[in-house]
Amino acid sequence: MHPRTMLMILFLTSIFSLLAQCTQPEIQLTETREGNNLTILAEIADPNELASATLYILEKKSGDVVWTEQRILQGSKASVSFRWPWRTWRISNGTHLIEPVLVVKTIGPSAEEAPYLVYSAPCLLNLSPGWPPIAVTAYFDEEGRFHSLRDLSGNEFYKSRELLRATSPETSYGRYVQDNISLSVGRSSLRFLLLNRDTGLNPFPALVLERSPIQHYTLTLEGRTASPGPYIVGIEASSAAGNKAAKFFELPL
Amino acid sequence: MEFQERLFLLLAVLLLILCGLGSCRYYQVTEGDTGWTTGVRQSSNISLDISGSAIGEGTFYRYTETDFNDVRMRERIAAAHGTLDTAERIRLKADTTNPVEIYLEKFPGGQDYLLTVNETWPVGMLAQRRLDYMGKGIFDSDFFGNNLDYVGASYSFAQDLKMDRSCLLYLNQAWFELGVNNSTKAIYADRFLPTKSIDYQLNSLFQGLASFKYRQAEGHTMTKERHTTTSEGLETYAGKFQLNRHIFMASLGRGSLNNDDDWLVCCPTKPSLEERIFAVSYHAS
Repeated sequence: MHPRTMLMILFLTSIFSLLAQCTQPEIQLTETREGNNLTILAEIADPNELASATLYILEKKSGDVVWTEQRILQGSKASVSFRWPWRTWRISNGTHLIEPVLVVKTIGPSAEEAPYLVYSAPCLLNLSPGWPPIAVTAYFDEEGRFHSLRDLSGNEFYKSRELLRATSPETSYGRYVQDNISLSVGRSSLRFLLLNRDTGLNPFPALVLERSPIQHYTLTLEGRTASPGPYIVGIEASSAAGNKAAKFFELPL
Repeated sequence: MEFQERLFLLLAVLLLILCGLGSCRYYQVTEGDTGWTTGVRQSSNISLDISGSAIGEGTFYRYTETDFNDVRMRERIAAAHGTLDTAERIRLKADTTNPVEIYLEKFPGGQDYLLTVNETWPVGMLAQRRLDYMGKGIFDSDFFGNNLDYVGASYSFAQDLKMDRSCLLYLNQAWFELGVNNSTKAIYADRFLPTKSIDYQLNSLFQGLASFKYRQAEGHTMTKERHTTTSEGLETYAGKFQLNRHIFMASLGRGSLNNDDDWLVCCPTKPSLEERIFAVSYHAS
């Protein structure tokens, strides 16, 4: 190929790439409220491929994110419906309680694991006091029972008896606990996260895992009716090219 | 010879018998006229080391009974259907190598006799247990006794129970002393002075009924009706509680009679909990 042609191709590629980066997804929002259920319909469009849309519900006064949900998008246009049941998340280890915790619905678990990994909460794990923290995700089922703890590489620090039975029915849980669980009762702790508009991600005080893995460490996720407000609703859309756009509005009381 | 005759008059029964089987030994010293007795003292040259763990769902029952020279442990557990995680370790060592020394002395100028029994049959026991239960209900009771002293806790109708318990018992020596007038049969001295200790540590969280009790006694003889309670306590709880207790009780035995000793010596240094093997607090290997 002629060097001039090659330069031309390189130049055009750069121009289109720049143009693509300049475009941002467009977001149109409509909201409806029935009792304690808020439904937000987001129409999102982008000349490029869309990647995801995320809902944020922020308490106006504190700026704390009390609810968030993410959806994976495909194509250049998408119509996404989010529902906020006017609730916030809190987590307890049986003796201490923290709220509002950053919790999302789990995206893409396998069919056999899905009932046990309904909700996920990012957190920092301390295997023992003084040890360096490890970024992990805690998974809970629909009733809020703790079933799994995994790091970003997929290494599993804990698996509940029910989840083990679903994924590996021939394995004895006693043997599994002895050979695989590295959490130490009374020593290992988790620091869940609070997402704030102004300060970003902030870890809560550590929740020590006081109980046995067979009792799910008595770590439970609970939904609680949110205070009357006021709240700010935000939708953030991102494209496959990495562009992001967000739209926020205040919920009328 | 005269001394031996008096000895036979004074002592109606004296038993010091090798059990015949294994290394078990026991004795009982009784003074016939007054009925004073040491009670049956029994021990063995023995060591025991039990450890283990269990985790699962279902029902659970446990019975434990140990008694060496009145160093006792008793456990009763019955758990209805539920999830359970438990681990334990029991270490016990008893030694009856030393002879039991019995002396009879007559004070001059009267009929006052002093009978002493010096027994050095040491027993040491460490019992640790961790239990985590959630289910329809559990009854869990433990009791540790050491020559008139005891401590114990029990939980009833507990649908949720987490406990971590450790008990260290030592008996080093026991000293019996009887002062009696051979004419009037009056007892002027009656002492039972074991060198012993109980170190009991309990951390528990429960929902249900619970009770905790302890007693420290100053003994006369081994007859359980004849002792002087120096301290005792009984606590009961109904509801959801975190119950943590640490009790350390010790007696220096005959050493505590020595008035020349500094009074501070009466309180032996508490063994550091950190120094103990507390493996069952965490996951059993």
